[in-house]
Amino acid sequence: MTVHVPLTNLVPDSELSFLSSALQATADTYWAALPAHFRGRQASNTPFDLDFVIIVRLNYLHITFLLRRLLLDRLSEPDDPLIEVAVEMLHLVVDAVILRNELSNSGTTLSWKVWVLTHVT
Amino acid sequence: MKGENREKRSNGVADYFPCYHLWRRLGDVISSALALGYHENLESKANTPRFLMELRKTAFARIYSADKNVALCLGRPLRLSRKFCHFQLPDSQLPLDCGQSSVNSEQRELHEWALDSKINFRAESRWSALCASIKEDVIELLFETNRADFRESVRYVS
Repeated sequence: MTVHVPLTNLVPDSELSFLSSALQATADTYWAALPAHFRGRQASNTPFDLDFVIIVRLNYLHITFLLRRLLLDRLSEPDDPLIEVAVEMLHLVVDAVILRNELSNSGTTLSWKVWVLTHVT
Repeated sequence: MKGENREKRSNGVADYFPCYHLWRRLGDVISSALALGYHENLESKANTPRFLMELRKTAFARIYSADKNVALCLGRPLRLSRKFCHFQLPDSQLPLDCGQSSVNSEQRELHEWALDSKINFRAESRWSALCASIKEDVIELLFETNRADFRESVRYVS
C-alpha cells in the first residue's frame, strides 16, 4: 500500500521554532494592542465585564500554551514555561468556577472555560 | 425482547465518537454561514444596513472561533480556513445597536482597538476571532508535526 505523505512539505525543527516564536510575537502584539480595561480586572467591573476579562486572558494563554506545547519533544516531559502557563490558566478557570454566581456570560459559558482547561490538561 | 432492542438501539456514529452531535451541528452552522456568504467581503454589499453588517461579521467571528476551539479540543481538522475567507471582524467602537451615534468608526488594522472600546459581546467575538486566526496557524503546525512523527514511523517500518 502506498502512503501519500508529502514529505518535502514537512516543517523541520529549526523552522518550527522560528514559526512558533513569530506566532507568539503576533499574539503578544495583539494582547498589547487591547485597551487597558480589557486586560485586567477593575473594581468597577460588572459581572459581564469580569467574565469578559477572564475569557480574554484565557484565550491569550491558550495560544501561548499551544505554541509552547508545539516545541516539546515529549508531552510527558513538559518544561517549566509550559507549566507556568497551565498554572495561570488553572487559576483563571478556578476563579471563574468560584465566582460563577457573580459572572454573567460575556460570550462563552463557564463549561467552555473548563473545556479549554481539560484540553490543556 | 422488543423493548430491550429498542433501548439498545444504536445511535450510529454518535455511539463511538465523543461530542459527535456538537461536531456535526457546528459543521451545519459552518455550511450555512458559507451558503449565506458570510465569508465574503461584507463591506462590499453597499445596501446592507450597518447593524446587519456588524451582526453578520459577529456571527462569522463566533463561528470561525468555534471551529478552531472545537478542532483543538477534539483533535480534528478545522473546517473553516482563513485562506478561503475575507477575514473581517466586527467593529469594537460602535454601540451594540449601531444606532444613532456620534462615534465615527476609524479605519484600523484588524488587531487594533479604539481605546474607548466597550466591553460587550461584539468585542469578545472580535478578540476570539483574532485569537482563532493564530490558533489556525498553530493547528496547521500541529498537524505537520504529527505527520513528522508519522514520517519517523514510516522510516522505522521501512
